[in-house]
Amino acid sequence: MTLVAGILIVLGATFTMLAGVGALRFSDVYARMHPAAKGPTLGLLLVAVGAAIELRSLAAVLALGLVVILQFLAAPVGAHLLGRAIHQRLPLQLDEVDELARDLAERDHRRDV
Amino acid sequence: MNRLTALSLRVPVLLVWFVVLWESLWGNFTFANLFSGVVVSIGLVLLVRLPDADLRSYRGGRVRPLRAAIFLVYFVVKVVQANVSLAWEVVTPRNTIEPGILGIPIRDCSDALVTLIANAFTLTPGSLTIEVLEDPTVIYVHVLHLHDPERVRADLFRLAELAVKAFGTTEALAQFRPPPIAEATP
Repeated sequence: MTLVAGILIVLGATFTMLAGVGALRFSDVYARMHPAAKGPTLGLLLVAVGAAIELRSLAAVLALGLVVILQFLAAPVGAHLLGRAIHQRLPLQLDEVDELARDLAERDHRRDV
Repeated sequence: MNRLTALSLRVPVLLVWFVVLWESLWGNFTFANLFSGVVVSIGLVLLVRLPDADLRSYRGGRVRPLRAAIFLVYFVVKVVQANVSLAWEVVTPRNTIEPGILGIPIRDCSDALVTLIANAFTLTPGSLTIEVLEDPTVIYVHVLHLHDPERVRADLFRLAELAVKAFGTTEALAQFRPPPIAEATP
């Protein structure tokens, strides 16, 4: 059991670390946000499951479960807010598909008419 | 149930829920914890505007447990897949990133369900929700690998469909049925 828990915790930490490396290595703000949002979420899930297996007490499982649920709710919301702020300031390059800019322009146009 | 009774029912339920949350996050039950929990909960309920976040929409959405389980399993598999592919992307020197932003229209869903779908998009492979517009509701996602936009779109639709099947209304479900043959063929 300790072995399983250990493997899960190390795996979780590895995903989180790789996400950190990805956030450094990727080329632009948007790409950097992908690992920053996804990595720690699964990482924390794995660490929490590992810790729950090792601790095996109801209070610990309850608290860890809450931690995971709150992380799954909070991490994407954070990324969402960051992404929307970036998009308002920094449009994509011209050759890239950007349906958000297209639709925003269309909505503006409809409001003006 | 009118708005006022709904509200007066909701506040005590929220209070109890927050205190339970507080206690379980501390991990042990003491009277000092209970007291601080009650104080923090009352502060939260009074200071923060808490919009109704029921997964079932007011228009007859419901939770279908089996469908919810299918969604959860599919979602967890996708989360793992997302992380494995990102990890691979990080450790290999090749750069295959071709970014873009796609709009995914979602009809007839409650705010809570739209939030769930938007969050699910962020945690699944290659997509990250950056904006949600309303009237009509469209979720905009930043996509890392946009070599085949229609395939990415189909994947995201599939995820949204599973979420709507688990929690959505019958009207919301209708949008995922294939269009009639007459429309499909040009």
